[in-house]
Amino acid sequence: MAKDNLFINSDQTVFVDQAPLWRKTSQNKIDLKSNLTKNKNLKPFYFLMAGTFLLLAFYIIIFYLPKREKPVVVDDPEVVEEILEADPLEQRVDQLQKDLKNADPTRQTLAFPNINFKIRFP
Amino acid sequence: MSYQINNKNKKISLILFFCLVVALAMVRVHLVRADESAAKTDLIWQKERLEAEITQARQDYNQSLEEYRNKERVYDIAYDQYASLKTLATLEDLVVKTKAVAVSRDQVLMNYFELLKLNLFASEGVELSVKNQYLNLIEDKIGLLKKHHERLQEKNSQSEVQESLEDFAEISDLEKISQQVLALLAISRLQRVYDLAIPLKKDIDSFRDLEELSALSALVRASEETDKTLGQAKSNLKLLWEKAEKTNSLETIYRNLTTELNPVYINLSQSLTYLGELLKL
Repeated sequence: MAKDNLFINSDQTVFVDQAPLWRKTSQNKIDLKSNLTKNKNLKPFYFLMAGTFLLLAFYIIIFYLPKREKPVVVDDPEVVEEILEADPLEQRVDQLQKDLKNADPTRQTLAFPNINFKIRFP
Repeated sequence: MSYQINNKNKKISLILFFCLVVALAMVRVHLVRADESAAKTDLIWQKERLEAEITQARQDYNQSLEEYRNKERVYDIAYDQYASLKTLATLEDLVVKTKAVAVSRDQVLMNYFELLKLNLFASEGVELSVKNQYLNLIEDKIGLLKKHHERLQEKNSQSEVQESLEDFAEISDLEKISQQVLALLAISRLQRVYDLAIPLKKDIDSFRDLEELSALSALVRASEETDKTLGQAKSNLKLLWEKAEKTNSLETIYRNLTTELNPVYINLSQSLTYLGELLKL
């Protein structure tokens, strides 16, 4: 219609360049529906859609569904205190055992060097 | 009116004075705490610096020992060559190599005694007077070695180098002092473990409420057994130190180190095992 009007319309405010903008019909470059129906092998397309859907569902399940909280075992506060107090003592015992190992009399790391005291001329 | 104003002023002055006193007291407390924490930080910093120095001294010693071994090999070759060929060239070579190995030997010994000195300084189980006595002995030997090292580097002829080698022979008792100090260090390490085990035992006893009459009898028996082994360690250590005070006995202790120190080592090992069990009972 715009094409028809292009030559007949004597409205001076309309520009010829604007004619393509008036066209509402598609240019038939991308027609998904007809392309899909023409293409007999739609399996890859279905697989792709199913994979995308599964990924999306997986993402939603993992990140958005409420997580089940693990039942929290509340220790007796006295027991917790005892454990806390024992730890530094255990550490001291462990450290002393290490120190004792270093004090093992069979380990000597500073023995006198084996040097020649009789360097001389013949 | 003026009376009321004066009274008011007095009250304000009193309040201000009181605030000033409290503020001064708080500042003083803060300064004292800062001093204490600074002293503690200083101590930690000194210990870390000492450990770093010991590590560096050990590296220097290992490096100088390796250099000495290389120079000794070269000296042996030069010695054999001169002994078999008897030429002026081989003699000159021998003089140079002899001087080099002698200089290197001095360096090794200086580095070794420096390392020994730092270890003795850092040790915690030795009585201070004994520690200072041996530190001074080591310093003397290091001083003699340094002088010899400096003089030798100026010598070039065979006779001068020979003279220097004879001077070295006068620096005596190097190995003896080393053995004495090593024996002291070995005993001090065990002494330190014992010294730390005693307060640990006390802390474990109070943690387990062993001072209370209601403590389990099994716990009490275990604690008494631990006290017994610690007591045995104490008496064995006392015997060791008494022996160490006698002249020339430290070298004997060093030569039989395992035999001499084993009883204390076993007592302490048993005590620490019991302490670990006492915590878990």
